[in-house]
Amino acid sequence: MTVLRAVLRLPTGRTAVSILGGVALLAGLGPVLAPHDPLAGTDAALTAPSAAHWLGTDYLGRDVLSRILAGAPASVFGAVLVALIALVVGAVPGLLSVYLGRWFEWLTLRLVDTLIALPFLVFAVAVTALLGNGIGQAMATVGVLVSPVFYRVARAAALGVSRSQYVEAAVLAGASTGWIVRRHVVAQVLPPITIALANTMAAGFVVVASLTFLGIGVQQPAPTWGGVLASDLGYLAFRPYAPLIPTVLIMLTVWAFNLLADAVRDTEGAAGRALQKEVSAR
Amino acid sequence: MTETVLSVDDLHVRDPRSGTELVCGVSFDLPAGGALGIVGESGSGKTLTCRTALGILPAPLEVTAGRVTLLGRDTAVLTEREWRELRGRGIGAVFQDPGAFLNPSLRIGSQVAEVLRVGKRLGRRAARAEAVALLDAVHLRDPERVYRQYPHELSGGMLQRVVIAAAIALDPQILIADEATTALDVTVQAEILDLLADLRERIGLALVVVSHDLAVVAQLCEEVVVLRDGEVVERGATAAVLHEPRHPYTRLLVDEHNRYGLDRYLVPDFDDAELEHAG
Repeated sequence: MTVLRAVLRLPTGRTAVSILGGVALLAGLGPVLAPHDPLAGTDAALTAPSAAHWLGTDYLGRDVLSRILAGAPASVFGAVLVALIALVVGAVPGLLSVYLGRWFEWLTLRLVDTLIALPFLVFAVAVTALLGNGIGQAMATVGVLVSPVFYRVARAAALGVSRSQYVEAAVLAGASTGWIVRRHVVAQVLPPITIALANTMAAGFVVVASLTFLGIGVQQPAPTWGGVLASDLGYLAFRPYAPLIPTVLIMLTVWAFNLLADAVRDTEGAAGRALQKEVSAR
Repeated sequence: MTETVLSVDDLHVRDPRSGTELVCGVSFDLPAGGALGIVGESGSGKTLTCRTALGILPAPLEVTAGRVTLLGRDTAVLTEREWRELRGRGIGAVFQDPGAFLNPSLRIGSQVAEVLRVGKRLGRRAARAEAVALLDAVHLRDPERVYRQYPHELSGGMLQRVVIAAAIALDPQILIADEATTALDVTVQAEILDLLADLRERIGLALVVVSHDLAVVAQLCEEVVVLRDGEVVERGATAAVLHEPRHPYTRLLVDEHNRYGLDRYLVPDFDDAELEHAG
């Protein structure tokens, strides 16, 4: 909570949080707010924006605004899911790699190196081809493939603390490894993990949009932002401005996630505290 | 005949990477409630000897020969769990840089209380009360206030007191003070040494005082071991070693003290001279 308050004190933090709040609102209420059935086509295909269809209609005569609103949950929660899967799959072994001994350390390090070498869009396509096309498979695959970030961040932070002298002092006082991890290590690992989480959500958002653009994870005609973008591209001659709408939404969201990551980073550590002081002095 | 709490017998420590012997054949016995000094320059094996006794020898180094008996138990065969039982309760340690041994982001009190909660399984409230009592026992003024402070708010001398408080929290029989006063200025150093002497008297703590400074050892210990390049060059009662050093290296240490110490600049019979002058 103190982190949130510190983030809100920064202008960048406020911008990020308000944009993300709007996006979360869209994701939560979008399907309810949609004025038309996002799946129902009409005869009025590829029309310009009008009072009935604020953002016009697509090539099947479906209301674009409704499709964007109804597509929000899949797009946003997809990104969140990717980040959370990556967090669990990455950070936990990252922490354990410092404590479970050389064998586990070696194995996880090599696994992570392997994961980094895989191009995740291509790999996600391959996995969904193998396991069937579904949002769960696609997000889990991407989540696992982004997890090396969390593994490395958690491991680096834990390594740093575990070599500090106050951890040695705790060992000398007879503390067990579990206690030391809970008491000293987690506190040091959390801030960089939070930053990585916000960054991963941004990256995850782009990946989800790209996958849905390709029709992976969520199949047509179910609406997603990437899908709306894809369906508009074939008809640029009729509605050249159409791709702008989902694109700007995707850009704004990704930017806000990155901004949030920056704001969290700025509140952490000595440099962050100095910046805070400067900002509050203004 | 008092019992021996820590016995190091012909200890050898080797660095397998370079194959060099870092400690070769160090032996000493520490009786219950006794105080033993280990003197030597940097790299003479003082700290490695202590770390072996604490079971925290840095990674690639290994004990190749000899045995360390801690409270009657051979440390070579202790499991990690048995070590945990002994640390804190049997043997504690304080080192040179007290600030580094406290987590900078946690309050002093919670870190001292932490030891009590881990070691004595005390509840939060009981641990708090006892932690304050401990801070008082190491002569910190206003222990309640110190309890709520962060490490960066305290001076070096106060931090060393806090670290000592944490080290004696579980009533160990042995305390290893490895260069514990080196980073402190002389007056604070004297206060910490007084505190250690006081603890020894009050709770019967046996001390191992490691220092490169003969004066520190002379003040606290009745027995001294002089190390050089991992070997014991001289041992014996402190007074005897300091007054009649037999080994050339010890003589050098003592001489340097005489040559560079303050005594040299003090005019003898200063008081008398001044009195005469005034009269």
